[in-house]
Amino acid sequence: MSVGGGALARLLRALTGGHLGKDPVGEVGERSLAHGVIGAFEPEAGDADACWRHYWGHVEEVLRHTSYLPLASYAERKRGPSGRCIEVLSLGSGSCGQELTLARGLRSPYRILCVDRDQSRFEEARQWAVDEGLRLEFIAAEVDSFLIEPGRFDLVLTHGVLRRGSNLQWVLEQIAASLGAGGAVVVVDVVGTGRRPLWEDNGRFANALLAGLPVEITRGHRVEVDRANGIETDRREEALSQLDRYFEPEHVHLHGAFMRLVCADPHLATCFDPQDPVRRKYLDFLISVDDAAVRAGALQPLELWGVFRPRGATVGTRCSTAE
Amino acid sequence: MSGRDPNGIDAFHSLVQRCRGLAARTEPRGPDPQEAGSEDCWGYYWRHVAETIGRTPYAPFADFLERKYGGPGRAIEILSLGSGSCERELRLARTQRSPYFIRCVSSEGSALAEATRGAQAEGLNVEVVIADLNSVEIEPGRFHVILAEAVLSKVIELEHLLEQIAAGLVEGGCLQVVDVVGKSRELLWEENEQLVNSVLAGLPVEITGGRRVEVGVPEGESGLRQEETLTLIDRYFQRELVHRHGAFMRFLGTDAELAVCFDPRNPVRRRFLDLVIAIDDAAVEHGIARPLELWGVFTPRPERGGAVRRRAPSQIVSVDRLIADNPAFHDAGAGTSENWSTSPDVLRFLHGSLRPGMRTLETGAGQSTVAMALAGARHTCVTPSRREAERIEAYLASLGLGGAVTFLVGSSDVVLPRSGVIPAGLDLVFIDGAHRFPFPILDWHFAESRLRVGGLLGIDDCWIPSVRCLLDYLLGEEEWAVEREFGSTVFLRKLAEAPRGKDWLAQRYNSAERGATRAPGSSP
Repeated sequence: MSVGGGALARLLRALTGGHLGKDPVGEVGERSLAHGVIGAFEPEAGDADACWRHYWGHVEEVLRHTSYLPLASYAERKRGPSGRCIEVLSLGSGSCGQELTLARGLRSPYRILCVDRDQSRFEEARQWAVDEGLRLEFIAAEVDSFLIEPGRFDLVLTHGVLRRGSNLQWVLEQIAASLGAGGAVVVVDVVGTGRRPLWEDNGRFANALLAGLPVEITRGHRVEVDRANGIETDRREEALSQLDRYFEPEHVHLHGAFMRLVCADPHLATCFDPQDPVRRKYLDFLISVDDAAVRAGALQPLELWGVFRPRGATVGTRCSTAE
Repeated sequence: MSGRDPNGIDAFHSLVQRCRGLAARTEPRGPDPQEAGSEDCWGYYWRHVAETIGRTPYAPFADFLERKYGGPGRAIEILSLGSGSCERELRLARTQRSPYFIRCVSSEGSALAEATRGAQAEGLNVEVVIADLNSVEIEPGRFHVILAEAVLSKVIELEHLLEQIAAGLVEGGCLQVVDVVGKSRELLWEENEQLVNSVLAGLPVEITGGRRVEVGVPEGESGLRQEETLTLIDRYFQRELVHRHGAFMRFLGTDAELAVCFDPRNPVRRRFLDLVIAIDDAAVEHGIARPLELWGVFTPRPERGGAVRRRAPSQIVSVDRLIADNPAFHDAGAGTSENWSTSPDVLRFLHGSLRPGMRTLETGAGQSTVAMALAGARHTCVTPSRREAERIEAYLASLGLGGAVTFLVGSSDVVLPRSGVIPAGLDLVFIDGAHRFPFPILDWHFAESRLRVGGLLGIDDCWIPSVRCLLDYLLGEEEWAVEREFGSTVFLRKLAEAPRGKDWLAQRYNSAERGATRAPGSSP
């Protein structure tokens, strides 16, 4: 998926003298969370991410009722009245869609450091940052072995760090140590209790539900647990315990019992293409049922969006000298 | 995130506990904690509905009545239709602060004594009367509120009842309806059934026990017209509040076995009950399945309320007058007329089956035409004889009913196929036109799809073989049932629409046991 809008964006940029006020991501800034997550998810189908993006748009609507979105406002509050530069670290940033939106939203001086193992995914974001004068830095590195400066950051964003799993204890220790006073980490990840049994339960329910919908919509397609990509280890039980060991939750939104399974399937993602109003109606129905299943505790959620602070840290703004 | 866990922290800790295998499993079977009270599945669902209704100005209903109609010097007059044992009405009476009068109309005689005793014992101003709601007459302009709970779906003569209700309300009065408005007869639409059974298939078998929703066809007249209810209400009333809900919950909540599967007194089962309620809500909200339940408040349309067209007393003519007059309408040659009329019993039956405003169609013309006009029906008559039409019109004019019938002069095989000739939603069709083959069949063919489910089809002169074959066919079809027979005149009630694409093999008329014979050389 091309966060910057791909060839069309490049063409527009060329036509407008290399500078657009907002890129396609910025134009849908209300959906910044979706773009940030999409960047880390990469569904298989070319246009199938519309389904997943629609889902994350819904998640974002839920989170907008909290004080944590827009992320830029939250980061400004973390900075406090002292006037120092806001330091943000994004681990597993993918193509930095969320970070670009964050940078555009910040009114105070800031610096955002994006870390991802795939350098090629920075290409578009780097260009946008140059064009718009955004203060983003990019480092291609494995998150599992990336050394983080202690006490430097106000906000750390992690995308899919828990699910990678290897060397997790070291990574979490580093993140905890990297946060200054009042700092917090925003975790976007996949959680659960053992991959196959959990996913199969949720997948079974999703497939029963799909069987209840008109075949003109589903075309007879069903979710296949094995197709749900983006999961690299089976160690999420341990990951969650580790997270709990180093951090305490400030706000947690557990969600998505099967929507990942639907949207990750290229056939189903097309069946529930939100750009078609009839299909969107069914997609919204699935999302409502997914929400209800999690809310009722009938199915376990697979997705975590949470704000955590290091254990023992106090809530508040960091104490520092003025610039 | 629930209201009790606004930051999701408890949910997170619970998930961590589950990850560590420390969370206790709650067994769905076993002792039921009484923490949720004694409410069963259906009651739990209705409490959920009440939460939605509770956010409207109509709740609590007693308070709404007090605010809207209460005040010094006037009593709130309430009519409750189909009130059964009047429990709700007695409760309502107990909560009234202003003077009030409640009349309960029940069709169950057994309820009368008990409800009357209850009202008298408590000194409540509640009166109980027994009446058939298909023919009930409501005092015009009397009531502030008319309650119709689980009534409209059981009534055949809906137009009559709704007209009576509209006329029975004072200016500013309202009708409150709680009823089912799903598929006629079965109630549950196919897509709803498919959805609910798929949802059940996706839930743990420890919860559902493998049970599924099964749809049965109710006996009697119940639900015959429930599909039309809301459309008909809209014809007579405007909506003040309509809450449509429940795409399938009735079939879980009222099924003895499934209701136990989703017993809210067990916390694990309640969790799944909450889920199926949420799925039901979502299916209705997103238009995935049609709702079966209606909770609504309506006020009469200005053109209907208290001013429903009623015939002036001078225009009221008894069918006995027609029978006594025995007018001759049919051509006897040389400009004379003769009488081929159906029997007086048939005329009385036609007249008695109709209410003012009902839509009727007849092929052929005669005294039956007059009988239907006398009943106040919006009657359409197809006859090839202009002179017959003129004679009938003249007779009706002499009774003060000129123009009461729409005559379509022409042969029915030419007139009926014309687009827009036959009104929709016919209440009664009377086939008494040309008797030679295939005219009775043709008349039926063009008219039956316009006859509403629950409507009547009359066929005259069934002794004639070319008419009899139509009756023989209908007697074999489960969509039709004989209502009354008067010699060779037979009335059948339409119970359902014939399935589209129903092929000849599915018609009992063609079945082997009926002894159908094949022409030599025909294919099997």
